[in-house]
Amino acid sequence: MGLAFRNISKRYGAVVAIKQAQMEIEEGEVRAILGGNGSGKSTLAKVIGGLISRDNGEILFQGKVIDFKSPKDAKKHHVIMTSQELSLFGNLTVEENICICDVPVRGRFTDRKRLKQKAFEILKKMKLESLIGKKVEELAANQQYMVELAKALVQEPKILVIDEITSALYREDVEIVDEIIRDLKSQGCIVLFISHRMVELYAMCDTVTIMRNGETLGTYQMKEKSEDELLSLMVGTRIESYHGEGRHHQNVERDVFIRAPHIPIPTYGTVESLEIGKGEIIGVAGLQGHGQTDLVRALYGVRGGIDIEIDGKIQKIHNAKQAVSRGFAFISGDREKDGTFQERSLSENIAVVQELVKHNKLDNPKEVLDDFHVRYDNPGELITSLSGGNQQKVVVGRWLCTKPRLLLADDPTKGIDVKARTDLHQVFAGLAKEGNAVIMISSDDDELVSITSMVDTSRVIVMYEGRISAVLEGDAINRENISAASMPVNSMPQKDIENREAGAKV
Amino acid sequence: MTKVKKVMGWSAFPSLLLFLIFLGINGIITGGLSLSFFRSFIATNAAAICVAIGVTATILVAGTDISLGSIVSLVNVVIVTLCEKGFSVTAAVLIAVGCAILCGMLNGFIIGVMRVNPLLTTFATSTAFAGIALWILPYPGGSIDFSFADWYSSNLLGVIPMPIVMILVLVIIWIIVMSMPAGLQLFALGKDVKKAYASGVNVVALRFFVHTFAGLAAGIAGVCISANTCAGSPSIGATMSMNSIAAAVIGGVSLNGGIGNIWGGIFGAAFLSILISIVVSANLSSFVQSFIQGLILLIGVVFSIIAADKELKAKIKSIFKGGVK
Repeated sequence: MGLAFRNISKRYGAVVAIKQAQMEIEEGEVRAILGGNGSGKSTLAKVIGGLISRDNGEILFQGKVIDFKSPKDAKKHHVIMTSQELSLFGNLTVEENICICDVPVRGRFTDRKRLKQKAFEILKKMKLESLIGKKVEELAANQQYMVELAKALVQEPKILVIDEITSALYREDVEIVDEIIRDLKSQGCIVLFISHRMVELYAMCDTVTIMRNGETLGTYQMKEKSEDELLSLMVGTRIESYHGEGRHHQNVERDVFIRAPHIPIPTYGTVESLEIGKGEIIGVAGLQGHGQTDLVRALYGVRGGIDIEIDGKIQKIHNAKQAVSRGFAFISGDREKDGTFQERSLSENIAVVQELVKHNKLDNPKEVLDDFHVRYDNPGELITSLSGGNQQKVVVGRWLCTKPRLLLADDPTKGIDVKARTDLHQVFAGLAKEGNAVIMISSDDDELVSITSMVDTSRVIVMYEGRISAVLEGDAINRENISAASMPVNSMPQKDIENREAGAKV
Repeated sequence: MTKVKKVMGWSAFPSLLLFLIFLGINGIITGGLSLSFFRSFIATNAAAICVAIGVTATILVAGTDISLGSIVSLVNVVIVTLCEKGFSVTAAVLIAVGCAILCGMLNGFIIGVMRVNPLLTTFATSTAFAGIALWILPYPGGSIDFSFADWYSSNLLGVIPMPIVMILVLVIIWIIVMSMPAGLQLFALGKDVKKAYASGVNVVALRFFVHTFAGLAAGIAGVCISANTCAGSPSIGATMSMNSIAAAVIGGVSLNGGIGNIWGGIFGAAFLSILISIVVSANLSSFVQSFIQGLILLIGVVFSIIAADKELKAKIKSIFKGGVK
């Protein structure tokens, strides 16, 4: 009897993160969990690790119901969850990090000698004993990942959940991880592996469970499914499909009016370039956190100064104010943080950029509200009284009445309903048709396929680890191509061992 | 070389350096350093150093405590009032320190268990504690038996001055805690609460502990200041809260938590104290005094933050290297 999940559900407010998740895993099995953005993988991992409570359902381990109240409780039962965002402390040394969950003691005092020895033994298995004594913040991303794994191993896991390796591992690292997991397997440990890297999944996992929209769709033998099959299961077909595929215009000449030769992506330390044509919509795709947000924000001048050539003239943009005066607009999907002024009225929210930044009087905010089909009682009411979709329309209205030449949008339709989405798409397409350009990030690939089919000139660029991994045009814009480029198959870095030991920057 | 580097890289090093420099300046102004100067310096400023130790502990877990000055005042008025009521000095001191620990525990309970923001909590409790102090002793006054002052200026075992013993009590407690698993977990908590929770750290207990410790530190500070003045004043600790936070920052303790140690707090407070004594002994008009004091404080804080900035250091280093070549 291994581990079983029965009808696990979890919702955050109105958002359903997991619904009725079902899964059974045998002892000594290595299970991959595969799913797109927001499919509920990480939530499931946190439920097992005791980090968050579930709303419904039960988890059975060796026939007994387990119910952890805290990560500490879970660790007592040797259920270990590791994830990059929740693991290492940069201000502590490697050995301190490895042992922090269970510090060796002599009497009541920390046994420094045993602490070091314990860490040394684990690190020796990974051939990384040279890391002892270093602070974690000094390590490269791949080394940090290995230390994180060491921290999990030292706790002698019976169930190990590995969530999202976002750092690239070198070939030797992968071999070591592979060996460690095989070792765990022989001891009957259950390993749940959440990753987007297909190569690693095929190398290490026995079986795979597909998740989509918070549901577990099915479990398959890893060897029985090809990569394409898995991806299409993961992407699925939607009921309200957008019908954009195959309708794109081919080989259209673009009339480039903005050139950005050096766009820094600080998260990955890479530099990208982009040429933007008049009337163009550029969709930015990729898995979350691969530099899309950096790309758009860098163009807006909020990731340090940037040189942009507009209409043949080189302009320096250091901050958002300068970007706005050059005719840029920025709409964020995170309305509460970057969009609305919550304690202000609708008309103030509409007029803010035009009046306070561009110093033009906006005569009739009501007209703008009506133009964008905002549903409201009167322009004086607080913006928070509107639904999310209508709030976003107000934000869009605010920017469009400034007549922007380049609209930058970071997942602008996040969390708004289908109708409002379609309205926004039409507004964006209309803006582009007037000879302006739109750059839009979306975590929903279908949305990008759809919106790029609405105008003559369009592209979808796919980002992976801070670089543009593919540029799709015309008929090439479809879900399969976007998914494939989001997770490049041959992305395993083929660097040398010295490179790994030196801790190359990722 | 590596040892020198290690000392230079120590987060409390800039504050130690500042302290020594200003100690030298003070020596030049007053004409040489004497043992009696040290004795009076430490007797006057042991309280500030104790409060800095307490506040450093709370800042290390990414919290803060601005109520310690009020606790010092409270301890002072409790000792004076109890002595006037006929209690023995020992009993009065023990009761007052007990009160201080209770105040710290109250802070710790609200911050740790009820998860209220530390700044807001201690802002509120500081007003409350100061209010109680005023209630007990509305006007400066009262006196304590001079045997208390004699005890304070005596030496333990004939060698260690009593004010230093007071500071050592706190330092020893802290070193003991640091050598337990809780010491490691404390730094982890300071770096990131969520990660610490995910790593099985008992966040509530640690927060409760640091605020209780800070309460004790303020209690001992109150004892020192009472013994040094032998009089009561309900606002005697009023300026200490903010000064101690500045001391911690000068001592290389990151306000974001997780970086620094109590030595930084100690040297930072010592630096601030010597600074005040220099400005006072320079015979400036009292209007200019606080301006100059503030100015040097600002320079001290900026200097220590620059010293802790690794990126800036690397930049300076690379410029330096380029120049040498």
